[in-house]
Amino acid sequence: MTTPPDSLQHDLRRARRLEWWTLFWQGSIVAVMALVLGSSQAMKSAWIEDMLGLVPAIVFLISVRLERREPTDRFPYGFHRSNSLAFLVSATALVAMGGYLLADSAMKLIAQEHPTIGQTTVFGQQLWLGWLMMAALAYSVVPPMILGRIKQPIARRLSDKVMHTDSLMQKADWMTGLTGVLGVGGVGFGLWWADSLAAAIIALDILHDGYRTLRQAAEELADGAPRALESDAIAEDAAALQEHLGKLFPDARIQLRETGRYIRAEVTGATPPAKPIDPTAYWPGSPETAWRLISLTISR
Amino acid sequence: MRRDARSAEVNVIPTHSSPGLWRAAAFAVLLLAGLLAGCDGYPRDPEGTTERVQQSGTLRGGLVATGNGPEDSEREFAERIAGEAGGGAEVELEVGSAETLLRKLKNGELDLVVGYFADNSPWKSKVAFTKPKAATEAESKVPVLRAAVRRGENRWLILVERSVTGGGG
Repeated sequence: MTTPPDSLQHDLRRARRLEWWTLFWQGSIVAVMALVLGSSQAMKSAWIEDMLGLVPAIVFLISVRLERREPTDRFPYGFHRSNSLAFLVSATALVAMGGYLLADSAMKLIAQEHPTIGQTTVFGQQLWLGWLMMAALAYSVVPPMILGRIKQPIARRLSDKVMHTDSLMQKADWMTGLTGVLGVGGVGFGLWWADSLAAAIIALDILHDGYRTLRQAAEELADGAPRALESDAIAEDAAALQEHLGKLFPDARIQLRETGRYIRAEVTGATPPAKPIDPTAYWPGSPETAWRLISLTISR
Repeated sequence: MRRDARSAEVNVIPTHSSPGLWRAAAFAVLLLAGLLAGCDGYPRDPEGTTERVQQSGTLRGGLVATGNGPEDSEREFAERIAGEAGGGAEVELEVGSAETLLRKLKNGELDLVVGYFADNSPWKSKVAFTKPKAATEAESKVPVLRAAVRRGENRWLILVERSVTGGGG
């Protein structure tokens, strides 16, 4: 069986295209922000976040490329775990972003830092720099909002936690962009704390997502039972498989774990069938998702 | 589009970017933009420097001692800013060291400090500097005559800068 299976190739191609688009659009946002940044400290954190936001897309593209490789002598199990590693890296990026944002805004609030936003000259016109910042921040909201929404159903079909984490990163991106607009607008009203307070609130939400995904990634690498895409619960298809195998081999010990998007099952204490085992024959769900069970070992 | 019933069930929970939130956010931005479009005193000063100077008619200024001469042109520079940005305010000028004056400015005991500062001055993170008086300076390490205001007083900063660079105001 080729990995990833042929039935996934269409979605995988779309996923890769989407991640390249993500790099392109996020790159354009980083460039626009750099132009507006000027000497202002206020936008610097937004800019650093946008750079961090590129991490999941990059590691996704690398891991998909690696995953396709055939097993070698040095890597006899193949490269499915590259997805697990990419998941860990993107979850870490999400935590780093939330943590940085929270620390940065909390320190600004404690130090009672008043954001200084002066004026600039655009086409000979003098203009408050805040307007340009709000325009750039508003632009930074649009691409992640659209891309994040397109990615979610594909990530589900591919059982791809890296891509799912990337869509969470996009959510973090557009939310910080939007609060940035409100924050700079508030600063214009003389509310010096508006920007930092808004950022701190959003940071908590990002940290929450980051904590959950990081925990999931660690559990996956520690051979935990397969987890669902959007929560720490056991994946529904894995639970069904566990139950199904439990009925087929009542006295055996059944262990499931997840390597990237694939489930591996071990049944110990049962009589192995005489014929070679086809894992898909043991999949309780729809045949279209039978690729999830990539390996089944039955032993005494 | 092929979709597996099992994961379709999971879809139903809108973990994020629900349309309601989307719309509320877009509405908030539009509302804000609309509010600000016709707003005159925007941006405002968090600590109200502009209002206080213009209403009291007195600008508490600082002049960093140069050590050479009577500093007439520097005094004149400060007076011009008070006249233009401060709406005809009088300057009470205090002459002293940069350290003393900028600290006072940072604490809100002064409204304006005039002196020779480089573009990459280490004070940059504590106070807000305007562009130089003569706009032709290329070297960022050379101290040139410019004004400093308290950080975050954005309206005041804009008015002072307009006066400094001679853009009118």
